[in-house]
Amino acid sequence: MHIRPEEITAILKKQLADFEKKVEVYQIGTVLSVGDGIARVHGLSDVMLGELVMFPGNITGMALNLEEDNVGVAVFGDVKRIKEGDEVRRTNRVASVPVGEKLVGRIMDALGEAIDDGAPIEMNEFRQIEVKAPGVMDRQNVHEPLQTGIKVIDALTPIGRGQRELIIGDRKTGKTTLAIDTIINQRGQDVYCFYVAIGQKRSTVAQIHETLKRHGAMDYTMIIAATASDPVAMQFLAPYAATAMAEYYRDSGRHALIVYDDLTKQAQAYRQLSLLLRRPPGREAYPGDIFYLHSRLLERAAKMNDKKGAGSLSALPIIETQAGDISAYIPTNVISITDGQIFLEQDLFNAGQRPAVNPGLSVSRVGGDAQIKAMKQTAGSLRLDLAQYRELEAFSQFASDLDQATRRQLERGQRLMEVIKQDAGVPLPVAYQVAIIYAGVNGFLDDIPHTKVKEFEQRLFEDLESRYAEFVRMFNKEKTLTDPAKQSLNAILTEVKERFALTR
Amino acid sequence: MSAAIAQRYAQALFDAGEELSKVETLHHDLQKINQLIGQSDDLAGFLRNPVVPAEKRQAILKDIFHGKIDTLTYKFILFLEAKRRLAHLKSICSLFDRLRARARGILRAKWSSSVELSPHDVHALTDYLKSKFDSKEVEASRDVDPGILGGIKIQVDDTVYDYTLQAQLKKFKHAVVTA
Repeated sequence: MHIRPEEITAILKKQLADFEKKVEVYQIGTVLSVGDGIARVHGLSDVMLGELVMFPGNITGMALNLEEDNVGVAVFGDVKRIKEGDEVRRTNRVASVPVGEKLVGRIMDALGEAIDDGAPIEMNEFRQIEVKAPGVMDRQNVHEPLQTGIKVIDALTPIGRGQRELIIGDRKTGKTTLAIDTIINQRGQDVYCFYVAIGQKRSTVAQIHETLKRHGAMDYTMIIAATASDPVAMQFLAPYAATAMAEYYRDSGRHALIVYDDLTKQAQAYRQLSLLLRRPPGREAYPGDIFYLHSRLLERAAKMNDKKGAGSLSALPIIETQAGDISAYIPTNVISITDGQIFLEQDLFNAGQRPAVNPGLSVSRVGGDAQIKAMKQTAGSLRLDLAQYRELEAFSQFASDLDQATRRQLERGQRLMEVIKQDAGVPLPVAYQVAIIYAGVNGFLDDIPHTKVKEFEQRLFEDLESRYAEFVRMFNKEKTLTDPAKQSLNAILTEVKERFALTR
Repeated sequence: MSAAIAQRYAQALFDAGEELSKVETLHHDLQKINQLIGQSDDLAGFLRNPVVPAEKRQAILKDIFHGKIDTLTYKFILFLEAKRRLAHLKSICSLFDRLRARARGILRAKWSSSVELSPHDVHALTDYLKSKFDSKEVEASRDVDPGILGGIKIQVDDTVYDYTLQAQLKKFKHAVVTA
């Protein structure tokens, strides 16, 4: 290679020539006061709402309050390095994040900066963090299933691509596990997943990353983390930033799934920001626009029509309740915004019923159209049976005094409750789910003691994998339970049961 | 809130000054008072202090200001005292200044250069600003800052026009590093 020093000089000279007489024009303001993650700035007269501003030392902030004589700025960096009288510069751009294929497998903060020790993220394409949701005419009905791989959810509260299904429950009831299992189950389904951690411990985020990596889920997942120690403005912004990244996939005709873990913390972060900005407090001291905070976020989950590429963005927001109170302010808000909720109960969880989904209170308002036909055929009576069981449960102690029909119903219910139990981290293919639920609702399990149901299930899955692989293949092609399919499933179940009885 | 109060008093004083064609005298007095408050912590503290009894306040104000400023200004200060708005005196002074500048078509600019500008340069710059911003007069505060290396930086309201070598070098560095 031959490089002459003159050439380099010439290149630099040319570059320099472009710069001559180029005046830099920018608008500035002065910091009046700073503290609690908020800076009040005098000046910045033409600043836009939501515009990024720059403090000395490359600390960024976002203009959130435009008042008559000052601008309230939420600071994204260390406020201790900002002093009264510092110059604040406008950047003329509203907050945006990098988007694209390169983000897959990365851990980022709310501004799209890598925080996983990897190479800096290439920033070629940007999207604004706050954009309006797609219009009415750009959407279509939710009709494709988003398989969570969790029996009780795919059977009772099916989720469709483009749906927003709330996961709600007390602390330690398995909300995050449910969401993570759903992400794990998207392997090979062409769904890009986003996990947004808001106000969580860093150790928790590291743990989740580890779990996802172990299951090979980081090949299609991105983590956006605004942890408890990050500035509160970041925690408020993280869901919007992640949604902007996910929309890139939605708008290019692909499928994306986003998990917001959790929106309660985001609401609290926003409450803190609002109170510090002196916006008037309302119920539970949340500001007046707390509903809009979540509704405009979740509206961005959508199923696009064919003209727009038929992509989708499904959302699984998580809300933490206190002592099972779903009628508090934030839970009621988000319940009314979403297309259904999965309600997790502490009592069920403690009784060993995991996932601790309460089948009575959980609903999916649009997922029915997205459920595959076979599951619809099977799960129809499951809900009814479970509801009846819950009603009779209280009498189960007097089982000997009950008439035959009631006792049978109780026993059926007990077995069905066993059927919908599932371990964490093992999402199931839909064929397996249908097989075991079919067995449950059609009485194949009635003569197996309910303590042995799990064991039988295990045997059935093993056999479906080896002996009856042909059936699974057929099922996956048809996705409905035609009469011949039903007959072969009946035969399979009888055979497995016979062998199971022998080994017992 | 406090800005709104000051704005109202400043506007009223300015209107009164216009009617009596005493704006310039008022301006002169208020500039001096503003300076005084900036220099004397005691005065600033006294103006803010709500504990001093009313008769004492009036006596003190008389001792400080009587005879040294125009009667209109003096009356205004006593009026502020009666309304218990003395704490706003300083911001009223700056707001009055702004009102006067707007009414008179005076452009407020601030410039920094690396070396002291020659009178010729100042003249040329003033003329340029006058034509560019379509104003009758330019009142500028100047400041010498060797840190900008060369060129000039002009600030009008919130907008900075940066012709300095320092900014060019920074920009050049950014372009070379990120290209």
